[in-house]
Amino acid sequence: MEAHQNLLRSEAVLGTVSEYLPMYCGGKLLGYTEVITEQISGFLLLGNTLEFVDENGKDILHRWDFEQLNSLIISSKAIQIYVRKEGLYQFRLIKDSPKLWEDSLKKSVERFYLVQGLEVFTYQPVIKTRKLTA
Amino acid sequence: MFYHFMRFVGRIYWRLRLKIQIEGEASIPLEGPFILISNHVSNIDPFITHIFCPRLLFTMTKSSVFRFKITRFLAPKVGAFPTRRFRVDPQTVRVALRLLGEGKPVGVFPEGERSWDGNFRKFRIGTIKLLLKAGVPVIPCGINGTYEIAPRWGKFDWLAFRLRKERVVVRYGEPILFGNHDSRIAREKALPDAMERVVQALKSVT
Repeated sequence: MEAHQNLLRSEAVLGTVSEYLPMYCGGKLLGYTEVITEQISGFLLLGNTLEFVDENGKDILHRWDFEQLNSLIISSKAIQIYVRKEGLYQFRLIKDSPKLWEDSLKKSVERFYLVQGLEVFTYQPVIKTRKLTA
Repeated sequence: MFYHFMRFVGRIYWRLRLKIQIEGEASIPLEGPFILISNHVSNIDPFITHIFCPRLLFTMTKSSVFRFKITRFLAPKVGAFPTRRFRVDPQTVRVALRLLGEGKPVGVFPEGERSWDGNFRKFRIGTIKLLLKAGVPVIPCGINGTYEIAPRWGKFDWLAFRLRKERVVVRYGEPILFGNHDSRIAREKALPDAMERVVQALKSVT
């Protein structure tokens, strides 16, 4: 993690869902599990938006506004975000703590909605907001 | 059969590894469906609830557990069914209701994930709605002592067999009966009260 113009900057490996596998038991469908394929290494940046840049730190590969985030969770050593109309992205953090990322991301999302007069009242399974009461 | 065998083996292991004390087992119905709700403070909690519950339990399990071939093979055979935590997963609710309809008990961790500090996390609204929709007895189950042994931020030594074992107390509370809430409106209306009852019930056993 480095001090930067961003709040957080961490080395990470980006993964996306390659398929959802159906799980069966006794011939009955139990549900689905996601198969995540790791694609590229780079840096995850948290500032006014969430960005994923390449290893050289030059090219922005992904940029998301906080309102695009549908949910965010920790999964083992990774932080996962579910982006509206796009799907699940996983960032396996090489050195840094996913807990730090979850807390920081939550604070950023809270701040983003607060400016609009909204408060986040739940993060899971999806981020839900309501009007701030005086 | 496999599930019974795994429970047998699991009980031997956990009895050797920890000093496990079970309280309030009489609260578990001997037959018929129920939902077991438990606090979640450690990665060993699912093993403890699964193995020491007097009935064969079917537990909502995070989908990432099934990402390995070995767990994809084993987990469904010991009653685990996947839930995707990053989105609303209606399939999980369908499976839970189907199992309950077949008279089987279902285990749920209403916090949705492990606590970092041993205290309760916010309970998931969807879980409380499931309890209301199912209309079956809800058994609170408090797992005490696992946070001290294997907190989320720490590691658990699976092979640390000692003469002086760490103590874990599994405490079952009195069943909570919510009654039938078939309509969405009825569930929404009953939600705050149900949430409070579930929180209080779990607090009373932890």
